[in-house]
Amino acid sequence: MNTNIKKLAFILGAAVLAAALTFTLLGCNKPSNPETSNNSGLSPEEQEIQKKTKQVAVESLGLKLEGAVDAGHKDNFSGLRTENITFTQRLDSRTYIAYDKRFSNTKETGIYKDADEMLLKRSHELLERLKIPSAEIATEKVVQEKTQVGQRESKTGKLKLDPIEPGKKWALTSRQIGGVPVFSSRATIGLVPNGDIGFLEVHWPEIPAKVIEEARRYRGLVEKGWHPPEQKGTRVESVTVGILHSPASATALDITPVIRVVYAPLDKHIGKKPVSYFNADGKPVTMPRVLLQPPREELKTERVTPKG
Amino acid sequence: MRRTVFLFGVFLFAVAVGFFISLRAPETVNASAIVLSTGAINNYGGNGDLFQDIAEANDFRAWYIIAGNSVFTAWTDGNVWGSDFRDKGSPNDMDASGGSDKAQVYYYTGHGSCPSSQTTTSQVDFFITHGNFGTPDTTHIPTASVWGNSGGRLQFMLIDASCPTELPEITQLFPIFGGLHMVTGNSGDVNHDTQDSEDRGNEFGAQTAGTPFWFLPQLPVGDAWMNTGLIDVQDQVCAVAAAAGDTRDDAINRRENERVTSGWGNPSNNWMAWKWVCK
Repeated sequence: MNTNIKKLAFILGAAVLAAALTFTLLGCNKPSNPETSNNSGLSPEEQEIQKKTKQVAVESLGLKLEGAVDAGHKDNFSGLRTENITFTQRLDSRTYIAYDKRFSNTKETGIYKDADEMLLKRSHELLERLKIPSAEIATEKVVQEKTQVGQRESKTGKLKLDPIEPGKKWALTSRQIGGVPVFSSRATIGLVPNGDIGFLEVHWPEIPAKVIEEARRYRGLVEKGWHPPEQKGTRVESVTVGILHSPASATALDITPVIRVVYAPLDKHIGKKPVSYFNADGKPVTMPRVLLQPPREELKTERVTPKG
Repeated sequence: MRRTVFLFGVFLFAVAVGFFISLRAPETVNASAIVLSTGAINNYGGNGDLFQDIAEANDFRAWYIIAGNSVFTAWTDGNVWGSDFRDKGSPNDMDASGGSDKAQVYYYTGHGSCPSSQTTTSQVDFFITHGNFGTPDTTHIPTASVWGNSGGRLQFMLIDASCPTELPEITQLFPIFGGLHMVTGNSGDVNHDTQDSEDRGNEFGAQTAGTPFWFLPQLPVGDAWMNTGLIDVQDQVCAVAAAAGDTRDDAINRRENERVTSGWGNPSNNWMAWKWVCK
């Protein structure tokens, strides 16, 4: 019995040791630096993609990639990641997303306190470096968070409120091309106190000339009195011709001219305004796709009501 | 000899196991996977129907699924009941077929209510559903909803319904935190309202879920909403994020840093820290 236990212990020990060795050698040996290990096994084309991604991150945006850098690409995204910074760009669009997680931790990092003009200037500079045409900037605005804390005494329900304090600033930029708004394009930029990027999302895909042409034709029709379809329980609040495209976080890039109709519920206290997008014939347009291959879901369509 | 062969076999088997473990794709490994539900309503019976909300919820959910999380329910239109958001009554938010307190994250997109002005003191934080059961369709959140209590699991209530986190009523939200960590929504009024939008939910989903293999960053819920909650809204609409906490610092820390996958424990509702940004 004693011998059997020893044998079993020996066998188990050998198995655990072998598994641990294999896992350590293969599983934990993840590449940490694109210039050293991550490039091994990549085709010259793939290496070029990673090199360009790093160039955008470091040279165009000035991201400081400290410590180990994990890089890679999948589908239409190519990105890199350090302990604090994540950067990704789309390979099919002028789309860039950067985030420094220290930006969120305001207690340790603090907030950007420079004047709005300074933030806008920096936003301009970054957009220029990303080769975003300045002529396409429609509006720019700095918005600032406000923060507050309150305590409620559980016994009495009495509230104590701290004063409202300023929070993070965000520079918001919208887009137009020759007077035609591009509803889905935008740039959102927030900085950490020293002016480095805290968060950046620039989604500014190139728009084919024929889409712009078609949008202008739509605009002509609207100016001549195009009538939007009616929707029960609402009134038409606004009709605007523009361009719609797939969002920043997407694997698809569909672009289409649209007539956007914003409806207002007749019951004024019902919030959220219905918005529909039409073509010149007054038919709803096919909305730009988000994911080329959405995850498969087995959704139920009928909910069973409880008995009794 | 037999013993040596046997041991060699065991060794090879263990090596093979170790090898396959090491090959697991990172996107399939998520130790902090969560369960979410969505409720999306386009069909209001021809009375102010919305157009983008079901697609918006589909997009939101897709990012969570891709990131390795699972879906509890994803009801649409009449299958979203007012009772799903109420703590009392029968059925209620613990209803096994779709109560909002059964998942860790609930994303609601549909109509809410809006006041005449943002200085109102009347009750304004309402969900408006169009359910085929579980009426009434209107639910006043501060007085009827409590999440995370009595076995409830909800940690993040994410509301895309115009005004149900109205700033003048924000301090009345303390009672909804029965274990709930955060709530997000918008504040506005009848002339400054959110618009039906697929993009808003898509970007919010992508930013809160994070997708490591596409290098899409995962932001804390508060920051994600501050920069996506103003997509497709009219001027002066505000994005609002509020977090409960055991202490002042805890509430602030959750407001600024908590992610849906942080795995932090449930807070009490003694303290609440909130922030907002207006277009």
